[in-house]
Amino acid sequence: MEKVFSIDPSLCTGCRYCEMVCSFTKERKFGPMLSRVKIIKIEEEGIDIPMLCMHCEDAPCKVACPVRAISRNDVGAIVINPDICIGCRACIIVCPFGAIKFDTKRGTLLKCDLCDGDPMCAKYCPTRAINFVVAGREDLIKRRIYVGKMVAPMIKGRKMVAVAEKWIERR
Amino acid sequence: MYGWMGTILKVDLTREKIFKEPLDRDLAANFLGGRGINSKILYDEVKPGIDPLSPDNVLIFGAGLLSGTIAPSCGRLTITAKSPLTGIHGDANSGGHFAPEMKFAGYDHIVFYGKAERPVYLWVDDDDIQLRDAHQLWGGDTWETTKAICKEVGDPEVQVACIGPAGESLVKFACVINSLTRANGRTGMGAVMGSKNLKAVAVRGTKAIEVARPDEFERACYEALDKIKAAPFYKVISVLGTPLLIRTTNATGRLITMNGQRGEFEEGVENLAGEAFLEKYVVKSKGCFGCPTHCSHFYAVEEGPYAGTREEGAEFDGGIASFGSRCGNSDLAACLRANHLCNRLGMDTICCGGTIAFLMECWQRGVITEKDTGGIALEWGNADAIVELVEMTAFRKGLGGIVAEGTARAAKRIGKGSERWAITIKGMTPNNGDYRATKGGAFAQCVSTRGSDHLRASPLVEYMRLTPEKTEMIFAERIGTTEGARALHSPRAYDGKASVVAWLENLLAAEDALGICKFNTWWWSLDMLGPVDLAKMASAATGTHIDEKGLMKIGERIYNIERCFLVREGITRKDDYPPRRWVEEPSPTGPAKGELIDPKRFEQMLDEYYAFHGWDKNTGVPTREKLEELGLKYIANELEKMGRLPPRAEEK
Amino acid sequence: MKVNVEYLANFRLITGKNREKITLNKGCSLDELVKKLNTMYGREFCRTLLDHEGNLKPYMMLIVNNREIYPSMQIKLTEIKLRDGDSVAFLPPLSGG
Repeated sequence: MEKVFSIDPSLCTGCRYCEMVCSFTKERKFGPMLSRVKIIKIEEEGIDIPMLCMHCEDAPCKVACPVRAISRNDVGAIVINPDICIGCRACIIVCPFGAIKFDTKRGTLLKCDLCDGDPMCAKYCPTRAINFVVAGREDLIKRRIYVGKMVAPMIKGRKMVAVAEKWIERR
Repeated sequence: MYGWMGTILKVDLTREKIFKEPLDRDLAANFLGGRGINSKILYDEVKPGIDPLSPDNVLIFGAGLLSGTIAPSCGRLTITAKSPLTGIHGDANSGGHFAPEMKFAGYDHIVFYGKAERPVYLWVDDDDIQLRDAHQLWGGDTWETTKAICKEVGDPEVQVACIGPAGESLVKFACVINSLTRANGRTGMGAVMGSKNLKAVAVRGTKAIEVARPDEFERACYEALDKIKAAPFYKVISVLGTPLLIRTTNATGRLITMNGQRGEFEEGVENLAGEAFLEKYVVKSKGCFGCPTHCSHFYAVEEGPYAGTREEGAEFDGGIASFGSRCGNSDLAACLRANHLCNRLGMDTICCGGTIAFLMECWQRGVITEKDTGGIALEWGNADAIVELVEMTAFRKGLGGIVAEGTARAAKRIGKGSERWAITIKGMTPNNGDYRATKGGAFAQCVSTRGSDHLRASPLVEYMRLTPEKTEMIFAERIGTTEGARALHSPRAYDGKASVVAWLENLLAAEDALGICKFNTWWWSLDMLGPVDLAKMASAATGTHIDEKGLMKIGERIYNIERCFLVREGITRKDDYPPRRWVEEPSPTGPAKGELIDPKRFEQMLDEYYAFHGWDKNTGVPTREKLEELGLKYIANELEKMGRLPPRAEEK
Repeated sequence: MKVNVEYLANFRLITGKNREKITLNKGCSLDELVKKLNTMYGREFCRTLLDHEGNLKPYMMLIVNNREIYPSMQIKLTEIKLRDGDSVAFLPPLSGG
């Protein structure tokens, strides 16, 4: 069953636990520079948005690679083969999300590979702002939240319950 | 080094010279980091009797040992210096993202000496460190400063800790703000920065932290994470945050109201309630670095006279109670506005609200009039006056000049018996609890090493306990008696509380050294992380084998060195007493009606407390035996030379 | 008779309300009140407040007309009789900062 990332930025609290879990899982060290996922913040507005590789269906990075080093693996992740990669960074130029970085120290590209099908960022996100769901079901989370927020107030005094229930569902 | 980054950055502001010093292994092993190493450096490098606003003061930033890792909720920063508010040890702790960034840049601590000739800010960019001209930034508030620095260095995500006009005006309780709204609030650390002409510290780091035993560390951290999420209050605090405390403290007669005359604010509690805050103003939840609890929020006031107030926040102690119940004010939006001003201008909300409340009581009792206030009517609940006065305080304008000195000095200046209702301990204002209701909580406020404080040891376990048997068991083996543990059954009981406070002081010192948020530990509830959980993470991170006893010993060492700092400044038993109101005026209403702090029982608590800590009963000074046990012989020698050390047992 | 009931923290989340008036038969005890709230709000209400023996759970307390009742007092809910106009608050007595 193919799974995809489903992001809800309104739930991101900006805690950046995903960045630490990612860098630790992949590199056994803690550092945002090594993390494949990045939270972009506009603190004045209270905006926190997880930016990560969406493993596009029609991946521009795959198309742009001049040596065909980029392919989709069997868990559905777009991955770069370091043995073929020549480090030209065309993929970085074309990616609309900035999901690829170049590690100059090791001469390799850092990119999300879905952690063998169980992405750690989604696993440990405390509010499930980052979800890894069965493809085709990304809509359900949002629909349920909307119902909870908009329908519940019609039942007098139940709004607080809906807000809380939103959290309960996602744990 | 594992866990630590292994470098202390030292900045001589007078000569504008920067040094990088390797972190000494013994220092790290004995004090861990964060508040621990900060306190050691402060004790060693600051002579007794210096003026805290002079170049002789030393300002220290400390990242927690576990900051910047997957240890949950460990991103906290401690800033330490001699306090201009109290004249004793000062430190302030904040969440946000600054401490992890210090470590990603490669530094566990940053120490500032002297005073710069001109306004400067420190720019730490991995190994590249510069003291940059800040005269364009001087005068700006913390938001303007943060934005301007990000623009100047060309990166919107640089971490900035800075002062606003309050720090520049040397307001006694000026604070340091990072991440726009995260305050290292208490004890006036912002004034120390201002006195050094240091406008800001900006950090960006690209390095990574390594731990000694990664698999073990990972296991310990994820276990800790599970424990936090499974705790009975996780749901409620992750939705409501600290504003939920308005109703719970009000219901139990512990919400400071009208400068502490009452412990409940029935007429205003509905408007100030966390539930009201959530429904009216909250947009989403926000969290500090690496924290699954995300107890903070982003809020926006969109209607009324304070429309346009929007930021991360607000907290029970930050803004809502400080400018709300404490000042007899039920206008929540006004509290939020005052809170926002404190963030922008860089002031501690507790001391600011507390001093305004004190002046309001002076007004109530006719001790000051419009003549003294320059026309401001300090009626209880005058929201406009509160908001106006907050702004004036940051610039020391008019009446603000008196507020800026804090409650203790204001009371001295006003006289006319106003000391009777000055709620301070060692010059510091307590947070927004009415502690007549909880004897242990009251006691903890009186003996804390930074003056009145609820984060050194407030034994919330007085109310928040497991089954009586379980609580008894947990504390009996730790404080050595079962009678004491049994007293935890009631917040009104005195016996044994002092020992629990002393034990918690040692634990919480270690927690501050690790950089963990106390909401996820035994400070809050016994279901959360205890010393064993913390020791596991610390050991795996550093490659050592610290157990609970080892962790507690480190905490004890930290606490004792802080106490010795106080002793050197002349603090003794006589200073460890409650404000007069708690002793003389019984709580007038609510479930805690009639409660006050019995002076005779308090004396017994002091005796018990000093005995538990191994300090001299008459003076409250650590004994040579205790100091040598903690490896602090040199301090015993120093205190002896000063004539402050209690005589040895045989000599008595 | 009517009693004024207040819900805080966990109980506020369960019921969705700050407070309300509950109608009970005359001479009812706290036990009957809790049983009624259980039927209104589901078993979660009871399970949050009481353990399986019907005693107050750790961390939970009641305030009846300004009188605090916490677990170590070992009072049975049936022992406390309610009168018209009484106030009962359900809460964990959280404090801190």
